[in-house]
Amino acid sequence: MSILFIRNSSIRSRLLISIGALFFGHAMAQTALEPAESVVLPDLSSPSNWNISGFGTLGAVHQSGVNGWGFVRNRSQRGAGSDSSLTPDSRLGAQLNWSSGPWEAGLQAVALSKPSGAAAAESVTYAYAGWRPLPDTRIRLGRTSPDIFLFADSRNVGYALPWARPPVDFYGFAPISSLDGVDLEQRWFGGAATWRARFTAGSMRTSVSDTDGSRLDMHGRNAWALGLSREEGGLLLKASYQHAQLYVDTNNQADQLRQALNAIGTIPVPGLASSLGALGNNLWTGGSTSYLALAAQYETGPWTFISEGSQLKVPNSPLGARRGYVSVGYRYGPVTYYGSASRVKPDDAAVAAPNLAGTLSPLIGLPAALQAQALAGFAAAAGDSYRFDQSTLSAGLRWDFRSNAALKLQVDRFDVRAHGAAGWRFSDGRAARGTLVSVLVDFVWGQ
Amino acid sequence: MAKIYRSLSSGATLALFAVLCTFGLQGFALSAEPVYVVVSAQSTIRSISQQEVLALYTGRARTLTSGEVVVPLDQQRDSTARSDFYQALTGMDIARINSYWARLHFTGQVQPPQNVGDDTAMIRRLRADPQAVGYLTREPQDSSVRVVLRLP
Repeated sequence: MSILFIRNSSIRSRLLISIGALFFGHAMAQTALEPAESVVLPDLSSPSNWNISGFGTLGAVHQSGVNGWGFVRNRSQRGAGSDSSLTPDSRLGAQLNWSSGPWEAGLQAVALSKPSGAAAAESVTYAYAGWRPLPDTRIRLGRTSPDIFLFADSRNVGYALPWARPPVDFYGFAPISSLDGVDLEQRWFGGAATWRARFTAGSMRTSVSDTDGSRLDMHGRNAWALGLSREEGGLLLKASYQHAQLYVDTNNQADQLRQALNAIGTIPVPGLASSLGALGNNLWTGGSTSYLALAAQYETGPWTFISEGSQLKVPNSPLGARRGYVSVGYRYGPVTYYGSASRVKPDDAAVAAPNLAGTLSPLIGLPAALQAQALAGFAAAAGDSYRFDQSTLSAGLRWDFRSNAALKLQVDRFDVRAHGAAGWRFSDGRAARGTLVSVLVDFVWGQ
Repeated sequence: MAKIYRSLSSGATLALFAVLCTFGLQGFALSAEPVYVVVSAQSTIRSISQQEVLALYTGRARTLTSGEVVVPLDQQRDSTARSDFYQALTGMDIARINSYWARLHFTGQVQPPQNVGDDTAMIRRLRADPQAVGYLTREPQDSSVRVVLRLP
């Protein structure tokens, strides 16, 4: 496995491996001197600390209402292969932290269901070395998570989430969960409020799952994100912005298809070129992207209110969309009851394939016109694979039955609009309504 | 399997809710016992406000308002002392605090206060570390530590 890992690794991956090796080498040397049951290693003679901890979720989800579709929690995962599945939500993570004075380092790896062929390095969610020149200033180098969601870097830690999973309509599209580069954080205080600003810049490479379940390679460069949050009492406000050049590798198939559509567009038929040009936008393979998000969380007594809204802009593509959700929770002893409503709405209407068979057959013959029709149909379907257009109503409970474990039950009623099922495996262009029932156990250890 | 899910989504869920609510009543026993926030007698800190302690123990600050760096310490994760301390400090029960700290810890933002054991272990640790701040369930008779805040 390690040979395969190294053979497939880039310089970025080698850096992560080096940080990991440095960690585990020191950890093994130190744990050999400590009692086996000691996880946290306090050392009064030296203010250096190691901490090993982990988290996990065992979750089952069942979908009813639409035959043949598989639930996808996040497009960076493979998604369910059948109506009932353990794979979308189940995960296991391990984390190693070290600190010594102003220096610190962290390494976290998560095992979850990824598309087949995903690189092992994708399991490393963060691996960094950090330095605090001042108590409220931190600089980190390595792999970190850009601060673009309220639950940006805890989306895999089910125990830290109030719901069974982050709202899929809001979080399900997000391929960028980490950046390899630099991360700067500054905190300051204004009255009773704590302010925090984080700037992250770097590059990324990850797998995304196509709607047919196959793997696509996505990479990003010139990516940067800025997050600003203000916390006072029970109120947390947050604003985030991210810009990145993103590219999806389709093995030139999209380019070839676009060239074919352009060639058909040269046939002198009024309106043909423009309709095929719009269809060509469905074959997006990369370009500039920007993401703006606002979030608020308010806790008062047993009540918790959470809301986020965002806008993703991707010019000349079907990806642009607005997303939002509201959630309310009420805690009664160890049980929290919650409900939420979420929506994702694409900026542009779906582009349907024009009737090329009828229009072109008098000009180029029926067989060629049917081929053109097939190409247009493929391009239209490609657009559907990018479009998220759905809403969800959810209700559930979280029972903290142990100090480090919680049971969650959740029922989601989803409503997918026509040509908006990008969040579903094996989906087609149909509209669909259905129900998800989820049962999960989240746990943490060593924290 | 599908039948099980369907039953959960209908009437059976309500029964489970009722059971969980019964368990939930156990979580409402609020502690009226005071908790003492303490530092080493060698520390220069004479008093700390509740806001400062709140900021330290929720990961929002690593220093006091004076700029002095302090290291917060916790008692055992499942102890009554820890539960009473956070209830008095934040008004939140320990499950919520654990979830809150899990979010900070597993995102690499802030590491939670180190667990050092019970009152005896806390005093022993404070003696050795003038930068540390901790809490005790009983007012200390030991002159090696100093009370800087009483909660509630």
